Amino acid sequence: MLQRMLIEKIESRILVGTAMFLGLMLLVGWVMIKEESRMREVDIQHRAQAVERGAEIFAASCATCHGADGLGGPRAPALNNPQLFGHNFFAEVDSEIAKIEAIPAEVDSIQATLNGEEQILSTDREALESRLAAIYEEYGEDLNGVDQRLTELAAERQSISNQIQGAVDKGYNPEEYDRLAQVAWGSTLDAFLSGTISAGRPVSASYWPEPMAAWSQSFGGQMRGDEVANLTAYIMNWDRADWSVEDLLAVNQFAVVPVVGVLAEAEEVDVLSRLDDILALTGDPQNGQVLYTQQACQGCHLGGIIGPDTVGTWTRINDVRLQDETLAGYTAHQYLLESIIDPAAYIPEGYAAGQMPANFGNLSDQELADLMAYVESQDQ
Amino acid sequence: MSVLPFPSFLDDVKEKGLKKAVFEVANESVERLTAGMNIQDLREALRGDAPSRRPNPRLTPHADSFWLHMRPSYYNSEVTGLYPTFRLGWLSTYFVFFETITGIFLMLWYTPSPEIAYGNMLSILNNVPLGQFTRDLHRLGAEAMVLIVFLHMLRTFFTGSYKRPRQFTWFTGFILLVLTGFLSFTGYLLPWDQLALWAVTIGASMAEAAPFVGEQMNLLLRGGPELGANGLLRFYLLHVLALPALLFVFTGVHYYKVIIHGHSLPPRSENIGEDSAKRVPLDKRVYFIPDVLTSELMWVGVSTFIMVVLVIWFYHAPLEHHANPLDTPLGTTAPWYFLWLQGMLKLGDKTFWGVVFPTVLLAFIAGVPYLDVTPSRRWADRRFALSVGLVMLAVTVVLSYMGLAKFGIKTSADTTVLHELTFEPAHNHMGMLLPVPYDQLVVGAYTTAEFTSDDPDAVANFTETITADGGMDAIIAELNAQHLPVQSVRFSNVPADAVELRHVMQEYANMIEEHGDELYNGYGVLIITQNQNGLKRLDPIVLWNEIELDAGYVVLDADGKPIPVLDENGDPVGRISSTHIFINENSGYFD
Repeated sequence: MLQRMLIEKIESRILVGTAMFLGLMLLVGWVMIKEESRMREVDIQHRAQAVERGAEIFAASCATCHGADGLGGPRAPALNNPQLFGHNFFAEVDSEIAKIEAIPAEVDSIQATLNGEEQILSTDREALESRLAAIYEEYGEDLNGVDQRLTELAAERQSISNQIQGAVDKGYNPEEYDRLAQVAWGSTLDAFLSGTISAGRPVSASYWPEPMAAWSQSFGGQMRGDEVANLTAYIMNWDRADWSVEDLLAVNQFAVVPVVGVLAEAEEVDVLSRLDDILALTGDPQNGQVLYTQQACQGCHLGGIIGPDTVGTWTRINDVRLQDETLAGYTAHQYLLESIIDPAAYIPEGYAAGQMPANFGNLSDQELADLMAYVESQDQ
Repeated sequence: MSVLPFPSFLDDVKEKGLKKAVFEVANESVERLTAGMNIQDLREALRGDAPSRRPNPRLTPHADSFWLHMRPSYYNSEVTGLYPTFRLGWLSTYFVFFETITGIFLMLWYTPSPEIAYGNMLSILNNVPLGQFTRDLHRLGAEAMVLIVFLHMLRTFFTGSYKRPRQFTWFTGFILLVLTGFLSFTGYLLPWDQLALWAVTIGASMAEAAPFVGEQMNLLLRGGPELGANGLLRFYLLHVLALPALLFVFTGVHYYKVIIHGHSLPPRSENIGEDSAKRVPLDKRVYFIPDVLTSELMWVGVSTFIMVVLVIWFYHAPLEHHANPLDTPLGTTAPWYFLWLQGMLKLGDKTFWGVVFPTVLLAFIAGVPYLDVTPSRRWADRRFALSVGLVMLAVTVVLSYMGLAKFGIKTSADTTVLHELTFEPAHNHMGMLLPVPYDQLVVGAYTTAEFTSDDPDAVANFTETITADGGMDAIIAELNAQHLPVQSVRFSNVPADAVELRHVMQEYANMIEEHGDELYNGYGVLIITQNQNGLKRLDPIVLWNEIELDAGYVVLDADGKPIPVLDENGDPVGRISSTHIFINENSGYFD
């Protein structure tokens, strides 16, 4: 038995072989038919599992600053946050207001068309007339109803406004309800998140205790590309179609609008009061020179190309700047300090405004005293 | 006179009529395509009739065509049955082609880079029509091929077919076995998931044990101290280029040798030194055309059909999470066909057991025909050789068992229990908690104490006990350390309708009881919290009293009881261990 061909008759072999190939075609065809839905299902599962992996990373690496529930804290802004996902709490009421506000103009336009000299089709005329009738019926012939409705809507808007006041107190700006628009981001939220996670945001050092670090290995961090993707999927999973006011109020910390020093709206800098404190200290010109280098002052002030030359500054202040009428009553020290911590206050002739960063006020009084002592030594 | 200014088919039509002319052209074409058989010959062959022409047209294709030039025109009827070949050599060849074809399709969707390889795998699964199907076929085919080639070798050994004059055939076959193993092994890495990375890391680290050259070999193979971009590229090129090229060459040599010496007949029919395999008596001839050819085509259909049925209903190639060089999964092993090697490494010295001994062993297998020169193939005359073979087979099986992660490596009981609850899906197995339906994962805190006693107030008593002995504080501290900020935990009974969850908690309780010696006074809790919409976090925590351990094993006192470790106040020392997983409602573990 073992020594015979398993299927001995040639016609049986042909039959079995043909049946197998036909069966194969049927099976593969059947798999192919189900392929679309299978791929969709697998895709959903992979996305879901990416969220699970992302959750682990978030708990281990992000929750410390952004909060375990993503609601933010004193060290970093909320991610579980309607503003991040661009939810506008006024969207509904505002669109309603816009609709109602347009009604008087629409009535005028319809009447102008109906009473005008141009010929219009009778069907168009009927349509316009019925529209006019509908408006009159709803808002009265004198359109008093429009104002009434607008008052109602304004009250409704005010009520929402009152409800979210708690969030506004924490820094939420209802006019800038979309984080992406706020930072003028030109791509998707997904890309914004993964970009921020990957590359970090060094500039945030100026408004958070610690800057957002660069997490991706491509930027010197520790996360692989897939981990960044999983983390992004997890954060995106906070999105929901029905953000409620409670969600907004739960947010502990809103994002800060990132600003670069020179572009910041100048805060009122009280130079004079600080000047007294600084002049009470003894400046060390040696240390001032070190600071001058550390703060990269010479980058612009060397040779007087972008800012006035370092060499001879102190002489120029006394001989040239203080002669300017707008600086009447300034002492040389007052002018120097103002130029360092509030550079926009006075721009010497021949130089452009807005070049010098306005953040040197962050230096301590002693550091400023040192720096000024160094500049004072530049009296050749 | 021609119809056209030159002789053409139209002349034939004019002369013989359309029907006859067309038939003649068709007949001639078929005869050229088959290198010698016309339509009538084919019909006779497929009907099982004797050839009506002389000389036999069924022999011409063997003489004239490329494809059949190496195939014998007839076989001895003693080798066309199931015994003695079991079709294993044929099946091995079948899998060479099967793997090549499925592999080429997979190559279309694959880039050998750690950055994208895993993403490619996901997209093969969720974005390429028949992608998963092809991958499953390729993976199953690879595992089957290793097994089939190995069985082929066993068969050759037991029938003594390696003896004179077929010594070199055995040797080339041995090379093919090694190549098959390496092909399978190099392919293992390509998905770049945890399974791939760690199985291959373990496999490749064996090369490191080689004296003098080990480190260099390892560097060459991995392309660096760790498996990374270079290593993946090397494995890929070995897998798709170098090894297949060698495999094809040696397949050719091997088959050529098989034909040169004739298929070996069953031991009783062929004596060493006789050329009986090549001289087939007329009454024993089974002609390739049509009998063997139809049989082979049928087997292509049957084998492929079986493979397709298997991958549709029974087998899916595993894909674990993305490879992470920093996270070694518990219970990592080499691929199953290298388990014997891993088992051997547990015997002692890495250099001897990992390199010297396997090399000697393989050299011995390669040299079997040159060592065993006894002149008979009959079992009765080969008692010694057969015994050696059987012992080696048994040793391989035992060593493979020893290669399993559970053998000889002591994992602490708490790690084992937590792992059993939460390990990620691989080879259709997964942690017990994963397949619990999402809606049964009711947010709350549960304890195994509910399942170890019949007391309806078990949970309340439990809460009271652990609040008193500091267990509660330990749990809260542990949760906070694991980034789950909670101030208090309120234990309750597992809801009665959460049947699956109850079942898992029961198993959880059983496991802790099973390890009762090591997890002395142990209990487990499970904290389920809602993390996001559609995402829950599960924190299983095991608490127990520390006992005396020696190299991971429990030290028992004279009464066979574990010895608790006491602190300076004479109180038992509490131990705690936890892990956590997240479950998304759409993850589909519970299908």
